Amino acid sequence: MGSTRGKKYEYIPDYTAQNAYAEQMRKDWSRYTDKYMPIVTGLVNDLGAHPEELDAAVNTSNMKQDQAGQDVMDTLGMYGTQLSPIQREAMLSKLKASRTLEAVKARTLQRRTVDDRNDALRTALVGEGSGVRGLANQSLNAAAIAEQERNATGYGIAAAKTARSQAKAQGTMQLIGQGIGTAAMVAAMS
Amino acid sequence: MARRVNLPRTEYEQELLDIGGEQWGAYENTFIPIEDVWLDTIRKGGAGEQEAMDIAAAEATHALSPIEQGAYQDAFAGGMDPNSGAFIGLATDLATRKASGVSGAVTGAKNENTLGYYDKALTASQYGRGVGSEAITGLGTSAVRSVQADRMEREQEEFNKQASAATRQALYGAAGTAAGIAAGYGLNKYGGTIKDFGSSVGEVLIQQARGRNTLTSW
Repeated sequence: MGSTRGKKYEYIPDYTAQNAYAEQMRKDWSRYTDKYMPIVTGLVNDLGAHPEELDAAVNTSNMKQDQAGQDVMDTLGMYGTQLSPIQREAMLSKLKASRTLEAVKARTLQRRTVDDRNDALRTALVGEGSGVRGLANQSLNAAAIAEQERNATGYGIAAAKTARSQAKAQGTMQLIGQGIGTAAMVAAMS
Repeated sequence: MARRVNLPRTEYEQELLDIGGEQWGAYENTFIPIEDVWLDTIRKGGAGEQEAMDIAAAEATHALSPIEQGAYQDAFAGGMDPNSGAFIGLATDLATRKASGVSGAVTGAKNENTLGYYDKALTASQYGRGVGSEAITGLGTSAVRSVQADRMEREQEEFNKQASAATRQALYGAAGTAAGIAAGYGLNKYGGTIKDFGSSVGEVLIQQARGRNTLTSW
């Protein structure tokens, strides 16, 4: 006589590839946040007036103009030029004026350069921001798809449990009916 | 206790798994270090900037010096006196213009370096977004697959429970039929006796009740 209890079988799933893939994707995301996001942050932080750059441009100009004063003296010395006091005064005034004008020019030019650069960088960063927004949406969408899949599973499981419970109740009722019916039939036939 | 079912990995699956592992290994061991070096070069300023500025200064000086010398030669060839105000003015002009040119070149090199940093950083950012996008797609796919895996596992569990319940119901059905037959047989065999016994007990009870009623009615 066979068993009154059937055997149960369970499939043992293999998630090797899936787990490896998910692991690498986590690494990918870490790489993006650790290595690439700081670069974008660096660019964003570089937007600004940069007064230090304006000062640096002026300092460079002043330094080179001071050097020019020394170069003139060297040149005059090389050609044996003898400066009268008035000539010396005029030359020094000219060098001083040049130093001041070049400093103003350097600051103005650098300010314009920084402004133009900021404008171009801001435009580029708007594009980058759009890409970051895209990543955010992509992530939420992926989460929503997984959530939907989970909800569908939940509905399915609930329906299956209901069906099993109802079938059990129906079976119990059938059992009672069957018992009574059989008893009645046997009694009547005897 | 459930019995286990195993499905071995196919040859092609294994092949792909191996290729994936090998290629990831190659990427991590060979290309990531290169990428890291490249990423480390993306910075504003630094030694590279100073070098560019020094080169620009040297190049500007080198380019302007012959012009300066040519101007002096032309001046002397035209009979200019080295002690004249014109010569002093020429020397001052040439020196200050050269200084202006060199400082412009130096600051320009610094600005070029900054623009180069921006270009490189933006390229890296775009590449990085590709990495991020790849990761999100992969994690999204993994999330869906994990939910699907969970569903399959629960379905298997539920299916097994349903199958067991169906078996149990069949068993109960058989038991019910057997019990019914037994009950029918019992009724048939002992029905009269039970009926007589029941009637006797009932009669006694009725009589008792009536008796009490008679007494109380007096």
